[in-house]
Amino acid sequence: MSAGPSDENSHSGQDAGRTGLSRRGFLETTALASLLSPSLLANSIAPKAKRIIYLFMHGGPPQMELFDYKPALIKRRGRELPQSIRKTQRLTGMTSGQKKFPIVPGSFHFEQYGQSGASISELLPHLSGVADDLCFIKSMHTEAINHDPAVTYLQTGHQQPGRPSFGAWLSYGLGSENQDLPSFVVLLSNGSATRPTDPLHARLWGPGFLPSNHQGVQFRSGKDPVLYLSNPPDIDSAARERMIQSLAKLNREQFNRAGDPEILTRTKQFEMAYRMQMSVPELTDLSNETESTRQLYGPGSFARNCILARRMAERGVRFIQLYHRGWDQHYNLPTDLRLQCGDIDRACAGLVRDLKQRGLLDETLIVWAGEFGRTIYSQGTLEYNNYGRDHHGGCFSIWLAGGGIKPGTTYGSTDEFSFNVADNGVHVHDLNATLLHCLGINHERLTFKFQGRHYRLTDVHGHVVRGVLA
Amino acid sequence: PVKPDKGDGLYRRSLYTYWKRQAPPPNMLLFDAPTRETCTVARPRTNTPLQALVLMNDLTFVEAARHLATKMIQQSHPIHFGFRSVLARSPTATELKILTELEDSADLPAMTRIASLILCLDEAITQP
Repeated sequence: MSAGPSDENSHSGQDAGRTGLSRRGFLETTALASLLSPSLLANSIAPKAKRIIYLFMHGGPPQMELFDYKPALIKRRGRELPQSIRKTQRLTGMTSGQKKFPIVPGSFHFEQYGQSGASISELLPHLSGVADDLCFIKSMHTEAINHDPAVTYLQTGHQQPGRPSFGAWLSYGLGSENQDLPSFVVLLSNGSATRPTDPLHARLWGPGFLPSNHQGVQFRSGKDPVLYLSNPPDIDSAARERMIQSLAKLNREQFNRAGDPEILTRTKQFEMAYRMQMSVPELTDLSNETESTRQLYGPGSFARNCILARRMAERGVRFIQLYHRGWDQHYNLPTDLRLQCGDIDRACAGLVRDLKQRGLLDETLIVWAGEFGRTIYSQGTLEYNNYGRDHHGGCFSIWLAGGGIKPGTTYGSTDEFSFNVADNGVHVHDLNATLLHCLGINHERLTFKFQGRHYRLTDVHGHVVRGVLA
Repeated sequence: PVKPDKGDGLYRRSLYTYWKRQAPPPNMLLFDAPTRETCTVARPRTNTPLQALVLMNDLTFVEAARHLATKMIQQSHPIHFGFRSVLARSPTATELKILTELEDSADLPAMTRIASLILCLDEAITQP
């Protein structure tokens, strides 16, 4: 499974992944994926899901306002968060200087839904309609307390940049189900919250030290998700095919001289581009979606991306990564959170229902998660009907649905302040180990040797969370 | 987004491209140009099929290939000239053969395809 010893381990830093790779002798990158898959399959984990749709809520949604219901806190409103709860937890620079940490209970009405009795906030009325299809994990936790390290951690298993993204690992480990589309596609949408969004970088869907054809391909939001699909005049499809064949030969000549496997990867991307010229217009043409489907998902760019995600799932895209931005309510939480939930509620529920009615939910794993949760105490002054919340890694809530996941369950719990995990904590690495397990991959076996070490998505950690498995 | 210029203005170097932060040039974004929303410590390097689409089909590159081809057909060894202009070295016998066999004719459309192919080579777009 390894790619051979490296003689150039001296690089470090963000860019070392690319530089190191290009100089090293990964001569068998093409054969690697095909060698790898059988060894993983021999691992005797039966895959339940074939692909992942990852709904990333970028910014950190507040768990106590959406899923982690703490009614007992109402009588503690405005009182100081006890030191026995806060302990020595690291706070961000935005609130570490606060003199007071006044408790703010969630402001929204909760009810229990479905046979499972899942607690869901009034802000997510459509999602509550599919409660029995979802598995809530309320005991997620992470060490990271700022956006970039936290997102990087969840997506790559490490807080510092440079390692492959989850989708790149899956593309590398399982290959593609559809040779005409990238196996890892990324779709972005901006939230309606008035607060400016936090930055989002392409390296979050980057290949790290894996061959770069495994990197996520970002489609644009709006009417033309992929540009430059049409050949210029004087180049028809046959001429284009001839040109790419010659390009492959010439790049091969260059590779024979220089020995950099990324030259061959470049050829692969041209071949993929040629196939995408035919496959993408059909994929992104939503005009043949029925009115009832549009109604199911609702309006907005996140909803549009969810429809696209379903179409990609139907066509065998391995990892479909959505980011919805704007979940960073440091202030004006009550109004901004309502807007954010309005963006995604109907589309999330619509995606679950639509995949289910098409028989795809069993083989598709949906993940809804942010990079961390938010503090139970108010950031800044707690006003009568306004407040904010700071980042909080001590506990947060996510939900999973579909292939391999036990529907209608809630796993783990937090203390009465939604500040610390009370039982069945699920760390970032545990989540990633569990997701890989659902795809039939032993997270300890999916490795890539780089700079003398066998790297994994889960680093040297992670335990599969049996309690959420079907 | 941004209205294309006219006449000679079309052929300004991309260094002088007019930037609208709300609608940055998509071909530059696909080659990892920072969005200018935040400071950038290091420009990332990616390799995507979307970049291949830019190199093959974006008007900038189509025009670059046409101009190169216009110069090439005036030469006694057009392919050799085009190759050398882009890669600063002479083609090997094998490379010359591959490029020569791509087209049956030597008219401008055919030469434009050859020029486009040279501009898309890994050696042309990647600094060794």
